[in-house]
Amino acid sequence: MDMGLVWIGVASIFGASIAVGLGGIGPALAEGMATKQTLASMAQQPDEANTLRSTLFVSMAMLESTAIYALLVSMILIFSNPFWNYAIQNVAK
Amino acid sequence: MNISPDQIILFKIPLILFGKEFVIDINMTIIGTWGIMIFMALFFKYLTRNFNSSFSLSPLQNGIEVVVKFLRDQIEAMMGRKADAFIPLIGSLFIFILISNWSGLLPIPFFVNGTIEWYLPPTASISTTAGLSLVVMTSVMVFGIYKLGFFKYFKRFFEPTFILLPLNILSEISNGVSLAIRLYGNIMSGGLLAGILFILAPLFIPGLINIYGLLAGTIQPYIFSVLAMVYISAGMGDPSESEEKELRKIQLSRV
Repeated sequence: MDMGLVWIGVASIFGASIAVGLGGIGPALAEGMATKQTLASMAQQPDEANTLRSTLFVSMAMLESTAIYALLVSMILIFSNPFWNYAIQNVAK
Repeated sequence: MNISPDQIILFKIPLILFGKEFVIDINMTIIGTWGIMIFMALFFKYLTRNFNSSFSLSPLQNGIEVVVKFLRDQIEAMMGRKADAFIPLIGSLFIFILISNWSGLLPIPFFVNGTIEWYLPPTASISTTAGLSLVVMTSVMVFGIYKLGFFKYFKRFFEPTFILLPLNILSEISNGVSLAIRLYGNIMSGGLLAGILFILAPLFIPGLINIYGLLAGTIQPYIFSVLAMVYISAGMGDPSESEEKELRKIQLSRV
């Protein structure tokens, strides 16, 4: 088997894991902070709980989208890696 | 394992146009989108067939009015404007995405060339979500130009200085892209996670993941429509004093 192909595979899997792993840390921390602050505000002002909850949902989704981008990059690396396809075509020739 | 409903081609339509032959692939995204659109049109037409404005309402009409009032209240709270102009767009987006996400749980088989392909929701394809976000970004422009006028709307891109023009355009484009990718990524990752766990632990765990997918599928349309409202509202500038006064009068008259 061609060593170049092996290295492309290794780099893709490694890159995908790194992307999801590091891309998950930031949003997780940020969502924790947002929830913490919202809970504190809800305890302080229970009347505003509905507004706070809807705002929390929206900001959660916006924070989460960063993790989704990382997931998307790793999925491209695993399932439809352009370099992998190029290398496979070259090997077939 | 199919990731995207774009990859499942159900049948092909050969077409001859201007002396050239084209083949149109009809994939599951197209079938799903049109199916849901026809279902929505017929179903809501059927539900609203004998609505009236008298004091004794049928339970059905009460139920539908609760949904419409929820949408109106959300739009008015989020945009600070009268909801009449926005409820057709925002409401259809919300209900379409909601039905589409939930339809992913239906086990509908399609028979293609002797093999069974299972139904995937159209929002798990980036083509659908990109189309929806194009609709939103176009309506941001249309509402903005309608409200402010052509020059005043595009003057917004030159603020605070003209040097920031590329950045302003880039932020407008990235709004649309992130709107599309957020919805696509959430729905697709839910389906993919269930598929992978089905290989690992086939009996019980995928059901739990599908319940989580149902929750995400309920929150995502809300987020999509809220962000659409925020973008449209930002494109129209601040609501004027007379608009705010009118809105307050309407809200007071309802209480």
